[in-house]
Amino acid sequence: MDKIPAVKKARHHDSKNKFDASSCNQLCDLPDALLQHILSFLPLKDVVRTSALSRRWEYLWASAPNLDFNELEFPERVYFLGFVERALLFGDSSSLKCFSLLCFVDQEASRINSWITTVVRRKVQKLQLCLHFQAESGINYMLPSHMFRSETMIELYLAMPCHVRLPPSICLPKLKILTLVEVTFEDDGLIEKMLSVPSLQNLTLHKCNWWHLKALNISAPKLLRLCIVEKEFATDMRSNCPCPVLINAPNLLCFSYVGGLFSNYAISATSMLVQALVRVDGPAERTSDQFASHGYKLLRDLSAVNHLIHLILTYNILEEFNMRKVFLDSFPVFSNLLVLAFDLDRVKLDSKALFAMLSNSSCLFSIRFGGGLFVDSEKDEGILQPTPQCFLSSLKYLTICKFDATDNQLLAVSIMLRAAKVLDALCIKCSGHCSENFSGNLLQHIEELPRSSAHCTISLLT
Amino acid sequence: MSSSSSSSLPPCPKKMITLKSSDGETFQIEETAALQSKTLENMIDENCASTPIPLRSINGKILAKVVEFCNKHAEVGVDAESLHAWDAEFVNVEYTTLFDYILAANFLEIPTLLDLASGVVGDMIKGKTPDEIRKMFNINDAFSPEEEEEVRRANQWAFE
Repeated sequence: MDKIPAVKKARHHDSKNKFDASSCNQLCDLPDALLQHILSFLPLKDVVRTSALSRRWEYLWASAPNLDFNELEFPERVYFLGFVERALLFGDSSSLKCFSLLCFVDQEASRINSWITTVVRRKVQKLQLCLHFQAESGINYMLPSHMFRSETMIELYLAMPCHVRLPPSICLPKLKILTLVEVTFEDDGLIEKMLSVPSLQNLTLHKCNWWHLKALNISAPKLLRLCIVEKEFATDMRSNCPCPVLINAPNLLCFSYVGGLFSNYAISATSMLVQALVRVDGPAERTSDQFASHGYKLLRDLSAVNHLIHLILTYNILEEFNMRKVFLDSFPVFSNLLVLAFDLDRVKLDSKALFAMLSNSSCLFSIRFGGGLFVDSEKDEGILQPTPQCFLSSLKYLTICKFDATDNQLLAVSIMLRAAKVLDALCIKCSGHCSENFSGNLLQHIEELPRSSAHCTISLLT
Repeated sequence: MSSSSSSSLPPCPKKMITLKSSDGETFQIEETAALQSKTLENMIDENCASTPIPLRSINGKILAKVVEFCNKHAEVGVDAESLHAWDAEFVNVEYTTLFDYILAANFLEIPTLLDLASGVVGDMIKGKTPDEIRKMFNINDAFSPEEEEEVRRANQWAFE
């Protein structure tokens, strides 16, 4: 729950009541807003029990600026329904800021919609809805249209595993943060209105379903952060061409993508982007070509962004390029990239695609191998040859994680030390297997390896 | 940690501001530590912090502790674990003192202190019956037995 509004509310309350205590001896000496703030740290059951304390406490909790209802906390549905109803009936209508609801809809769709309408009319700023359905009952569910015409809503989180039907007119002028979870979009163009409301700054699409659309356009003029966690494409649809996602966000600063590259993501008109994260699962069955081609296009679009300085990748996206000469020959050029980080997987230093990536990132300052680094082949001839430009002039920091001290990992370290001419620091984070694989002083061994940068410090973290 | 009066100047010329409690005690606090308070930050931004700032709702005993809290939380290089332990010790006090911390943190807008002290009071309420809570906190304006029964009935599940 958001704690800060409680603070502001309390100050307001203080000045209104000329609250002036140089010392406070009773819990009841605290103003309502501070008592509500204390209640916000309690589980619901304890909160409700305070209603029996005294007359002042009876509906104190219901007037809190943040109301959070979770059906799973109730032993029976009937208690839950009655409870939310009373809270909305008896709460102070002026104070509501954040309303959060997790429940099963089923037979109570109209009742739940009336709650949502009530809180929207009470000028809620942050609305969180996790709506569940038993079996097929979600098919005909429609959210109340009021929800999409709010002058005050700043943040909307909507999780519901079914189609979301939107009203033809959407007016959310203040909406800045939108998160949609497991929602299936309708093919009527209305979702695109929703995704391009004028104030939108943060957009998260988490395992939403858009496969049946022709294209999904995201074009929010003020969008700063876009996060997409892609739903796995159904096996029986893999022969179809999945819907492309067209991102047109001129002010985007940060883009993150997690998924299996089922859709083709096209990023255009993005001149501000500074950080991108692309964390892909390996190609799903029968999608390897599509995976490589979508991965290539995504990297190419990202490389076209002038300001991109920080890129986080999983290595498996590169692995797919190794077998495809056409992608290697025209590998995207990351001319301003300063920080490159590999996530999760162990990186193969003798991979052609990695070499292309390093050669085409000429001003890299720092590389992090978050999942480790190794050499796949037995011998080290020709690896990192010719030495990429960044190793000669800009690469200062190198981090290798999950280091097991096996021979092929030590070889990778020695190749990196030999190639990097201006390296300031190499940091190796050891796994628990180091002592099994290497007996003796590992740090001393690495420090004695031939290296091109005499001033480089080496640190070993366990 | 807390300078109890303005008798001595700080050893190095760090930017200091002076706070004055309701009972007239003055405290010096480094500006960087004071910035944890939104209220003080605003006053610093508006250049209202050059003279001692009177805090009429906070007495000297509490203000000394608040200054101590801000100093600790402004220290650099304190790891999360030891800060956590320090915090736990800091709020290991009479509950009336906790209320004073809450009021002071609220007035000065120090969210870390407000949440810390509120959470501890919350923990005191957790798992207790209404009677136990009333006793612990001297809540005297209880319902009549009939009224209380009605309230309990309405939310029966929470009292089982």
